[in-house]
Amino acid sequence: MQTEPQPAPPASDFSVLDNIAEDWAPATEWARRERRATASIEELRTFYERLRPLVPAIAQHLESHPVDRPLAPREDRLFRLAQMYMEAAWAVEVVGAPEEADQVPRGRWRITPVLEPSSRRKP
Amino acid sequence: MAASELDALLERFYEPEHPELGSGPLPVEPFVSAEYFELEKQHIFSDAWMLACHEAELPEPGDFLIKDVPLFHSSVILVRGTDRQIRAFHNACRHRGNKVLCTQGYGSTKALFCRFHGWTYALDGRLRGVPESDRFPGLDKQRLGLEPYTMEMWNGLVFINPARRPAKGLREYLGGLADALDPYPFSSMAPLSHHSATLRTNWKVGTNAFQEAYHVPTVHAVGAPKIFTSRLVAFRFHGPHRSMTLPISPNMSMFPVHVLSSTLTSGMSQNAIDPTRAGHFPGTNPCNVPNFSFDINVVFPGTFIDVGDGYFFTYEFWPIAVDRTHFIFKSYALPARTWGQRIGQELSIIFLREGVAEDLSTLESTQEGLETGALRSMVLSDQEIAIRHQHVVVEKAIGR
Repeated sequence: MQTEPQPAPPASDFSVLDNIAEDWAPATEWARRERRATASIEELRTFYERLRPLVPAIAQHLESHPVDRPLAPREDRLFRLAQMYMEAAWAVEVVGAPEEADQVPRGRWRITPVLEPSSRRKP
Repeated sequence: MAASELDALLERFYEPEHPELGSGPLPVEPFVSAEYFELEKQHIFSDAWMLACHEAELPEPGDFLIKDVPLFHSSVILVRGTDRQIRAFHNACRHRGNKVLCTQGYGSTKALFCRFHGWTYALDGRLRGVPESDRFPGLDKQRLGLEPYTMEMWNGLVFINPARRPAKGLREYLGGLADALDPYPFSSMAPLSHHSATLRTNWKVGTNAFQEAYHVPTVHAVGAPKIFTSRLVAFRFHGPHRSMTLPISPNMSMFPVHVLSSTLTSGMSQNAIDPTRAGHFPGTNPCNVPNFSFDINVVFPGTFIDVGDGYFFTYEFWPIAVDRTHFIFKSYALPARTWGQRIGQELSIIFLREGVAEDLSTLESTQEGLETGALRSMVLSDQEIAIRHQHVVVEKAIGR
């Protein structure tokens, strides 16, 4: 049986995230890693539990936006929250702590930003 | 059927198939001796093709990358010209030698401008402007372009070589390894991540940690439990270079975030942990290993190009001294076609970054242990045959 495609949820459905976006939507990989490392595992778990049911809907909502163009501020915030969710999920599900003990210290593991898809084509 | 094939590969012994590589212990001297390192510098690194970047890291005319070659105190400008060609130059002004670009890493410019006296070079290296040029009687601008640095491209990858006239061109140097990887669509991939660290370790301690899987159950006990086994399979030797395949464990299990990521991402890279997605991507898995994850390809001496289905990642080991190495790790993937796929790729970035950070955790303690002088030799398992191959290649190159 064929199912009808579900319409993407409107951005307004994500308004519940508005009050956490300021704290949990860093713009760079370096900042997301720092956010994760400097949070407690309880904070990370709270954020993780709050985002978990919404990440598939965020991805679906963003499907209608061309990947080679910058997102509008509201959608960009949702994207960054979903990125941060992946960092938090790694800490909560895989490590069980904000950071793993037996790694090269993060201060010595330098991150160089790469071009995001939306930056590759000049407007 | 596939499971029994994989079991047979995992149980296979490789040393007996390569008696030319020997089977005894390896000496510690190559990792700690300054004299040995000097021989490596003279006989290996002075004419070695090393990966510098992927062409997509310099997408537009004027985009540049400053690449350091610390062993030879070289600073190299890689820059894309208005004709879209990527060129490499010594980062030294032809006037009195000042660095033309004093920045580090990536940037973009319309011209190469030396801030000392304002000499200006076009993106193709030609000297374009000299302030007060009438004060230089007989100045021949045609002969004072930036000094080219030896560079060649292969399949979208940019390699550099400290030798002004390398004994072999890049394609000939890569030999059978290039034949195997020619079909891989590197040019279709886009950069995903870029990490680096300077480590107090010998370059071979570094390369050795990434060409065996014996350490997986211990070093990767947190980041990749039950994803890989402790075995590499299908070792292939191409002159000084070597390749091998990492299968996914038949008992692999996934975390919920892996499942989420694999539902979002089709191009990369959760096939690395989801064998149902492992196909036959061009240029990968030539031995048809079941449960294929990725191939490890080592370009001697210090470059790794590890390829999977729709993604690849590279390691660069740049020696500084016998006990000091600069390490660069970059990953690439087929570009995300949707923002949802890009969210899925974020886990790949984290998975690889955290896994390599685990690998790096042993390099300095290994170097310290070797430097105590307690050991004169080290024993290797059959699974560490790639380390043995590297040792044989190095010894031959330095005339031992």
